[in-house]
Amino acid sequence: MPMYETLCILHPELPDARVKELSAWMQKILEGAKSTTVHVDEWGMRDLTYLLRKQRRGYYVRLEYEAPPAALKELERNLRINEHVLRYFSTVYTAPPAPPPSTPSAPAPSVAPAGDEAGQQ
Amino acid sequence: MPRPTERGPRGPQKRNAMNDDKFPARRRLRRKVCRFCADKGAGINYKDSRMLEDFVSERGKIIPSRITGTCAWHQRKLTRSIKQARAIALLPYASTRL
Repeated sequence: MPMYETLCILHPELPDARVKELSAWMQKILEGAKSTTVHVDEWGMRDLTYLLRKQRRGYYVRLEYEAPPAALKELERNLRINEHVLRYFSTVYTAPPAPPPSTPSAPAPSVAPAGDEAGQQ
Repeated sequence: MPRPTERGPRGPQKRNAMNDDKFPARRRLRRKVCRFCADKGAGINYKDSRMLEDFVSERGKIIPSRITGTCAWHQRKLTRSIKQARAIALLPYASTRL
């Protein structure tokens, strides 16, 4: 199953309890569609760089999950319907590159064994 | 002054005292280095709006790679990320303050 990531902007005037409710709702949709390892990352209130539905600010919530493509489709369908969601954006999640090994304890990068023969043929 | 019939060896015209005005002095001496090639750990991601802002003009336009020195491969990644960041309101499509 691919890893996905969805970033959505919720209406800024929602009370905290309602935000919690909405993120639980999104998780429930995903879990209902056989997705695993749902991780919620709340960015909180941020200024929008342009007006979205006449709002200057928005509450950002990021979801990270491993799910079948159908689950993503189901989540997006629900986000589209929900009027408290100003905007959403989904991508295939790629983990950020690991920081370069600066510690001396890190193992030296081993030179790849002579596996060229297969590539050359 | 050489006679018109006397031609020198063919080849690119070189700068000399006679045609000085045709060849402007070289402005850029040091070659610009792509920031992402130099720092392998720095990924390009649409969520990193702080980093992307460096590659966007005050008006919100993407700065060409010939100005920033970004290599073609990374410029393509950057362009994509900037457009994604715009879609989710992390970067402006156009600045309204101007």
